[in-house]
Amino acid sequence: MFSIEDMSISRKLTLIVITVCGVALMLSAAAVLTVFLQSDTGDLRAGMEKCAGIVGLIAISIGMLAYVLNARLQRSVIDPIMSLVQTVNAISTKKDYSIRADRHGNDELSALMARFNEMLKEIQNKDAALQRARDELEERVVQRTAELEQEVTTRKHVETEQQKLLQKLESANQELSDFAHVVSHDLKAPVRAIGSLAGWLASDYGDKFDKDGKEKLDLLVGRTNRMHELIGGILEYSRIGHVKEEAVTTNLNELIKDVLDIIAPPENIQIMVQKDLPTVQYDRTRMVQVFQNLIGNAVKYMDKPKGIVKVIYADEGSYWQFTIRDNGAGIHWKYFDKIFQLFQTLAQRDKPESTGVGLALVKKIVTTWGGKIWVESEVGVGSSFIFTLPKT
Amino acid sequence: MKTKKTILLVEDDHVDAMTVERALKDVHVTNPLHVVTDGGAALEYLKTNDAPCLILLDLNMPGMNGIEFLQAVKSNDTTRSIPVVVLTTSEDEQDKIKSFDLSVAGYMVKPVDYNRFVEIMRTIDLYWTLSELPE
Repeated sequence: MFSIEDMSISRKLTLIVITVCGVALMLSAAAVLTVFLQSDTGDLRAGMEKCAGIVGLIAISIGMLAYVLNARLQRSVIDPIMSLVQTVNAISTKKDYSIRADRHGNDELSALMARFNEMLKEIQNKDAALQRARDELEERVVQRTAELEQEVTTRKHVETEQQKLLQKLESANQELSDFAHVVSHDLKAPVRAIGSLAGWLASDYGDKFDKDGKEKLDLLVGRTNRMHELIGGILEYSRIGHVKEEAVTTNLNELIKDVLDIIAPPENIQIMVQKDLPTVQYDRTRMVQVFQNLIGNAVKYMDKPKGIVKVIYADEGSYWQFTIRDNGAGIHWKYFDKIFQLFQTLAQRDKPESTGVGLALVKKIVTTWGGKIWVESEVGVGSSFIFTLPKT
Repeated sequence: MKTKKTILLVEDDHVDAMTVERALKDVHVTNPLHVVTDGGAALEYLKTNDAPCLILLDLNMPGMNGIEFLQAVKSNDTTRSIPVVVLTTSEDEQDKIKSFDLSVAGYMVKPVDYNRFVEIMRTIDLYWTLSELPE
């Protein structure tokens, strides 16, 4: 019925005022009575004296009741506030979000406490979630660090392996180079000797040989020359890709001019070179070998009375394409691949110039540079040798 | 040749030595030709004989090779001034560099073809007929 806990704050305050007023009224009544009693009127005084006692008693009891009520009302308002203040202090200093405010009664303050506690619960949850996330992150960091360390170790291992391989490769290269050098020298010496001796036999004892004998001596000398060239060709072939190449800026028109000086084509063969050949960055010696072989072949296998050899090129964006076209003997399609093989030659074996190394050499050079080489040809009409060079 | 002094040939290959001898004869060089087959023997010869007017030197020899011989000759005061022409099969760039580093007077690559060899000898003779030589 009359529950202080369920009373709203405004009612409580109102009651506080009322009780204070009540107390005030009582006190004033008591004061009036005192004044009355102190006045000098005889009969009124006798009747009043009787009443004064009773009124005084009632006044005091009501006063005490009012005081007690007031105190309780105040406590009901102030205590929760003080309790909240304490709670907030505690939370603030200890950073402990598990503390909850005490709920007193059912008024607005109590509702505030409830909301306040809910808020604390939220904060506590969020704080816990944050801590969890932090822990998780830390765990992940540790894991990732371990992974990275592992990667670094693996990579270092791979690098060491690579170094070892590189060293092996370098020493293998050096060995090959030395081997080729020694082999070529040691093979050339007896070849030279055989050739010289055959030549001397022919000139010193020529009169003692008949025609047949002299022919045999000629063949002997021819074969030794061929062998000498073969040795040189093999040496060159083996060197490609192993000997350090020096990429030099070379103007191809100039280079081909030099090549033509070496080849010295006969009068009946006309060499036409495209005027604006590019300037390239490749090893000059190898470049010379490529063009010397291709143009030289065109000249060598020219079977027409008026020979024409064209050197042209096309710019294909990321690479150049060069064509050496002749109107010579042509090549049958079934040999298109064969001719690029080492020691394959389509001319007769005793023709001294055909060692079968030239095209194999050119192919190896071109492919080492990342290009391709092929032939298009028709027997009796002529051939086009085409190769590509990546632009550096 | 401007003088009649000996030509010293340092060459281990017998047929190559025969080639030089024959080629010099073909170009009518009458200087005596002394052949030694290794660097050590050559140094001995130089110690105990008059200086030759020209040394023809092969590089690829067993034992003391041509470059080592060249170093020895060029570091000796008495033999330093003798002109040395390298006569070798090697077209190796390193060999050329080392030879000229040691002040050779020429570097000829032995051709396979004998006739070309004769031309080389003719040229050497011609040059050292035109050029002065110390006594």
